[in-house]
Amino acid sequence: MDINIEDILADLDRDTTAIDSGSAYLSSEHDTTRFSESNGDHKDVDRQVEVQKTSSHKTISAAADYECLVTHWRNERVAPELLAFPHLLMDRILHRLNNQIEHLENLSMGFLEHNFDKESKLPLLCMEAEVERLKFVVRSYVRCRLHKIDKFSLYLRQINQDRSNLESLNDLLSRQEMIYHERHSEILLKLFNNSILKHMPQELQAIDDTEGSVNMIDAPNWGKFVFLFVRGSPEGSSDPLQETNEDGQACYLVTIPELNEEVELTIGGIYVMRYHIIKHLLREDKVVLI
Amino acid sequence: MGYYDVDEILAAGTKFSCKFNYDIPGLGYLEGNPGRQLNKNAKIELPLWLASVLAIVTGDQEHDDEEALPFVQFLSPEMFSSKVVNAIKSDAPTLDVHSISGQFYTLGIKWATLFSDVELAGVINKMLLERALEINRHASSVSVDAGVAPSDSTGTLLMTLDEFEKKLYKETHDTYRDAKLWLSRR
Repeated sequence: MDINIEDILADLDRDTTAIDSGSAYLSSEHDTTRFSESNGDHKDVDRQVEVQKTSSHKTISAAADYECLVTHWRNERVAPELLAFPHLLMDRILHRLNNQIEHLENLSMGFLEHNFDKESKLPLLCMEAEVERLKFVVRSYVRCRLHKIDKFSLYLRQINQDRSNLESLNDLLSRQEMIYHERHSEILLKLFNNSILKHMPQELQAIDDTEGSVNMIDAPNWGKFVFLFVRGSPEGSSDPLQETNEDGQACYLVTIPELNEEVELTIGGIYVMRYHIIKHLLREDKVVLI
Repeated sequence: MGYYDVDEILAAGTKFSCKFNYDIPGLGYLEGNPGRQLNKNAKIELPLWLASVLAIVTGDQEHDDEEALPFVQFLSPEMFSSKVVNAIKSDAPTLDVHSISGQFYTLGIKWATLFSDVELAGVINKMLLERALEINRHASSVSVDAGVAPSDSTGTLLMTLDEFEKKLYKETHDTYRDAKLWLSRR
């Protein structure tokens, strides 16, 4: 008779890993403390970051935030619409970035006072490079969003005016982006008005005319095909949307309305799919765009 | 399909021959002789942006018993005639689309939407698929050196592409080239 003891083993495993990681983490901490005593204070931060990484991988951490930012960045680059702005995440990241830059400056002050031979410059270089990398991602992300705001400025204004709409513009845009959006469309409107529109008959002067033969408001191309990776829910269980297919693999069922066809998105698979079909899955972080 | 899309505007400027269903005074300048009236059944070339609206808007009913006719009626254009459709069906990849129309796909889409022409849509769909394969084949055979001109067969192909396909070719080509450059030189 086979007795399945995997649950018990898993329980035991969890205990041991906890001890293991704890001891490893302790030992590494000792290592770094020793270094920091001999080599100056810049190791302290490395240790702090490490502590953050190891001890709090479930809760908010710098590493997890970075991962999250990269996901947001990638989604934003590929998605046809403007995605919601991650206010809290960006606040945390910008705050950290400021702190780190300040810290870097303090460290380089230390280099002036101490002897160069004793101190290794490598950690400083790494930290500088890391800051640059993070700054690049943030910059690229913001620029990509600004591009979309330019493109959809009339559409965003329509959302704002439409009181019945579910999303408000405040969730969609950051504060600075709101200012940019308002000022930019103002300037553009002024240019159009002064150069051409004022010579038009009264009823043709609207910049956001939807009744004419061609709709002047460019909405996002909801039918755009995107590549997507099905990530599944982070916990692995308790997901109401998730179902099991014939082969026993977990999957999501989505329906393509034009063809009236059901498609199962197996977890771990890569698909090419119209954007509006997988929009709700993207919102809930079940899939990521690539 | 945006409002500010230049290709779209150019495509909408393509002329189609239409037939007028009414006598309309004052519109003689469409025919080239202003000041006169436009006669019923006159055949005129109208740009698509004008014709597509006039073909939908109906005039006054002449007699109560019949349905109101739109101002103009499209005559079936040369570029979607059975001759062209047969040529597409027989061998799409070698067809010289550019000589038929520089904006073939955009116009094809517009035409198919206007008349709900399922058959035409199917033909154009298949044609695009077949030609896309050919375009990919040519675009993927890129040389890393920037100065080298495309080979003869690619050059001939490029002459036969319509505007949309040119854009497609350019994008595919650039992607392949950039990937190759990155792999070889870093």
